[in-house]
Amino acid sequence: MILTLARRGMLAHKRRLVGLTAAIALGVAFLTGTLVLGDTMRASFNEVFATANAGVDAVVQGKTVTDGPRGNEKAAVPADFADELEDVPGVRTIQPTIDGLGQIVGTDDEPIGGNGPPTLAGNWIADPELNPQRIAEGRAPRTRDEIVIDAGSAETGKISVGDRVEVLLPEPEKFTVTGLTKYGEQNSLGGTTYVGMTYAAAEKYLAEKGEVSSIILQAEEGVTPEDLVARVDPLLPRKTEVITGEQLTEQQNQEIQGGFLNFFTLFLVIFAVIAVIVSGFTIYNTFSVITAQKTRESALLRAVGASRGQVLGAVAGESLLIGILASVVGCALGIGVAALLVSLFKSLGAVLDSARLVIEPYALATGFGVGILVTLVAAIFPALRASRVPPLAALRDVASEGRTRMPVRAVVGALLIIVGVVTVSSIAWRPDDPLPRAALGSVAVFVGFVVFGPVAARPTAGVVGLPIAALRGVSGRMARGNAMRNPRRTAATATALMVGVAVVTMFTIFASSVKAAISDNFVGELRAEYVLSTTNFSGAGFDTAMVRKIRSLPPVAAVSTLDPASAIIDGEAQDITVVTVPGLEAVTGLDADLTRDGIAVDTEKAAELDLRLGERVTFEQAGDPATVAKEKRQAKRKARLTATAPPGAVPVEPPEPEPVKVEITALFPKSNLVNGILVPRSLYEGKLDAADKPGIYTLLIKGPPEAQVAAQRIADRYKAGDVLTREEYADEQAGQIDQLLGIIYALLVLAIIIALIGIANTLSLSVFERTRELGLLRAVGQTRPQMRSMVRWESVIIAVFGTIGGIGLGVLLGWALFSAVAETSGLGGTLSVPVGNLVVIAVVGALVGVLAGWRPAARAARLDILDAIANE
Amino acid sequence: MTSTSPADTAIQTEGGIVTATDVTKVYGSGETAVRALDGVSVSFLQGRMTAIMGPSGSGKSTLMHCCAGLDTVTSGSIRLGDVELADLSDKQLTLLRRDRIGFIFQAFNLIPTLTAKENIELPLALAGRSADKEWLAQVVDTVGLASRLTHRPSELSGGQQQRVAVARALASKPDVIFADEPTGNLDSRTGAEILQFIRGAVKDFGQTVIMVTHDPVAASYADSVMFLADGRIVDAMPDPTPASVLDRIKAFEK
Repeated sequence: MILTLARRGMLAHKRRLVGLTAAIALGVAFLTGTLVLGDTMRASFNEVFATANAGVDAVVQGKTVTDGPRGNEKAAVPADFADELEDVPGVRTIQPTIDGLGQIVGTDDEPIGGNGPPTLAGNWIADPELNPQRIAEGRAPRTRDEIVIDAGSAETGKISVGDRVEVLLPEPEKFTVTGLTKYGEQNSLGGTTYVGMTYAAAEKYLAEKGEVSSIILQAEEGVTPEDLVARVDPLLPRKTEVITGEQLTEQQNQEIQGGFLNFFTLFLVIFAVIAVIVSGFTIYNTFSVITAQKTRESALLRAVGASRGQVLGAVAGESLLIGILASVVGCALGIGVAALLVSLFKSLGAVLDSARLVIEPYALATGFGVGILVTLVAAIFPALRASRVPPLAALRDVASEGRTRMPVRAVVGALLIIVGVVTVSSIAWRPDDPLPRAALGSVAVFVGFVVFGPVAARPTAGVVGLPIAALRGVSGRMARGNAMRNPRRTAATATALMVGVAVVTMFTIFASSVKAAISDNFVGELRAEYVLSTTNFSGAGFDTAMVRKIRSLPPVAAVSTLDPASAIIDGEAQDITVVTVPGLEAVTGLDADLTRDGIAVDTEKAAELDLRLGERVTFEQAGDPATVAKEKRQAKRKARLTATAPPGAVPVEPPEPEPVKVEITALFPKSNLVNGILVPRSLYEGKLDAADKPGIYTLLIKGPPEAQVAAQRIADRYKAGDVLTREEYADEQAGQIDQLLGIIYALLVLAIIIALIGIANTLSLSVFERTRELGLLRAVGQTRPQMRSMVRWESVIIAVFGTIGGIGLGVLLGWALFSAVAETSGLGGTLSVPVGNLVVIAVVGALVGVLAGWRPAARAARLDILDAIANE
Repeated sequence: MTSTSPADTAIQTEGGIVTATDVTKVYGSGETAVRALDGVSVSFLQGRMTAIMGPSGSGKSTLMHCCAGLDTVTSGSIRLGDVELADLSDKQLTLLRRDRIGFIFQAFNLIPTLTAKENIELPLALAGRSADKEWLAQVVDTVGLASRLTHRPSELSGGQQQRVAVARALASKPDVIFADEPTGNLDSRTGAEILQFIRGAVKDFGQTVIMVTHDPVAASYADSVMFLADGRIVDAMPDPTPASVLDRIKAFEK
């Protein structure tokens, strides 16, 4: 019986049903689509790695060292270990690999790729079991000046087999292209470029002498990969490990998932969650209005003997049915969304062409569960509130509009906002560990805004409505009155938009503040007038010869490099900046008496780590496990060696070398230009055990304008890009942030659309509720355009109210986010509020109102006067 | 006056400010069609108050809606002055109502978000016309609302709300005011008060009023009463009293 009521209730208002379903379904679709996309990409990568490692039984590789700026870096493997492996029984094939970076220059003299995906280079491995790539055209390289390149790069750079091309390694070298490679049927993989050369050439250009990246092993018949690993393990050189091919695939999967892919998915999920929150507010409000309108119906049910539980049950049942319907639609839409995105990613080469949509049950279950849960929660609260009204009071009471205890709201809301603001403010005077406080403060401010909304709704709508009333005459006056008449509803309607606008504002403010900080740091503190920075941060960086040549140019006063990196100092990972000592002070203005054989620490960092001038600290790149783990491993190795070694043999244990110690030779005042620890490039490159050649990415040049011209000439010879003024450089950095902001805006459009549906829904319900009033207006001479204008302006007032709240909330949230990030990243700087952008946001908010009011306004104008004013 | 049949003696069919000629109104079609008006011809005289009476379903409300340009006729003609309503578009009808017709409904006469004053000026405001201050003051004074002008409808009693409605109807000096059961929601004392105001407007300002009612007391305030039954005008009565109207109704019911 109750279910029948629920079903009838749902079907009786199809239009309302469509609006509700759309709001929930969009949120669910985004969430499901995001999850499916992530799974599909994961599966695609897995397939890539599994194919690549299909013939690999075991691999000897360097252990993972620190998380460098380019992700995980691995230590190198001594090349002569390959010779030792020949003596291991059961080894069929030994294939050393050298992996590095090299950027191909196209026939148009433009370097190819490098804006994200790495520009890979390595020794070409002919064995198809060990190499997922195949030569689609031409032949493998045979001499040191022959290479194969991926077909994608050949297409981009208009390169054909037989052409002479330049490759930046990073020093420019000329090679003859003898063949084009493909990944299965795909021209290239995920936007990467590839150069394959002979082993000798790879050794010369890509590796330190006597080092390789890894050694691939294949086992003889009857020897399992695990056996092979067990036999090789005791012989391993320092900082290397041996794992099976399967483990390698697993490791590669984890690397990409732990890094880019998880970040990417999380990024999307965050926006999906925002969309779900917005749709939650939207449908909560719709249910509130519906419940208010149905109060008398419910009261009648109560009067004829239904219990409170049964009435609630009917509401729960109805919302459950809507939730199920919307979630099913949402999941289906989500799969469609994912399919669209996957095909987009395929066309970008980021997903294998052969990849099929991976729809895991959990993804559907998540979307489905979230959809139903959000719907139920959104429906049950208004129903609970309504069920507290005594049945007879509800039957007698004509006005179905809810009353609020405004003073309580005002106090609680204001308190929450104040507590949130104070919490975030505390970051300024106690900067350590700011993230939890930023998060807590943000939540308090957010909840405070939602609670305070109804209190602010009437006065704000009144003020917003004033110019409209003045300009639009009686339609405007009535629009203003309508927006003010039920502050609780106005606030709830506006909340969804407020959340969307708040997030948009937050990112806008954050981005603008970060840009301002970067610009301040560069333009304000830097003494060098010019910057040469590579666009290919996943490449190998600049040729040191080029840096030398620029430094020796007559007009150039000073040159230094500034490259962020990381190292382990006294056993703890730290962000460092690798610098060249000569010219450092002239270029940066840093007052650091840095010598070539020591490191410099800024005073703040020194205090934090309790370091003193002259102190010697251990300095490692290798992320070796703690000594305890090392000892355990040694013990295990010894035990194994004694077990397998012939009796009488004395196991030879290579001594673990002590970590390098360096002296702190300078302290300097904190600067936002560099990380807290400066390491001279000579020390970093020479004395320390670097995995691969540490690249030079940013070059700072001090000198008159002639220096720019001269340096540009050298840079052109090395295809190193443009020598920019520091202002141009700061603008370029800002441009990158704007790009990211653009993507974020695109993702937030959905949240805004859902909020728009919410306003449209509520207005439609209000129009329905005011049928008689609207009929009267028409009878006494309101024209249809006047009626439309009235409803539309009401929508605009509500939207502007939500937008104002959203901007206010967004400014506070952006401030919280920036405070935390500026503090943790050492970026520094102060909050920058871009008034122009906020005005644009406000205008967009008002436009949302116009759009949301369109359909309700049209419906109101179509209203049949006689139906509206009929007495019976 | 040309006819000698008793029922026709007082039925004016031409010469009035609002004239319906051979009006039929059919709702629905085919077997479910309902003839709400069946060949009605009537003319309402300027400066007079005419009551329309009849049992439920007699077509009295339909006739009023058609004459007021709220509804369209199936056939026949309705003229307000020399304007033929059937020739007007929806927009023109709206403007006609706004500029030349006043309304008083039984309930829900006022816009809850507007003050009494704003409600009174609503048709003028919708037209973008400024009010004739003197006239407005006179109207407000007549209905005794001067002290309540800034109040919203929810702060006014039922009687006060209807007085605001009367003032609104008068404010734009319409050619004709249509009142649809204006006292239906009021107690008899308050109702009498409202009818006095309406009556006063006819007497003092020469306002034309057409009122639909089923209350013989209300009808007795009119200069004449038209009786409708089954979509036709069946009788007319000049100078009605509550008793005479009641007698006539009783006669119909036999």
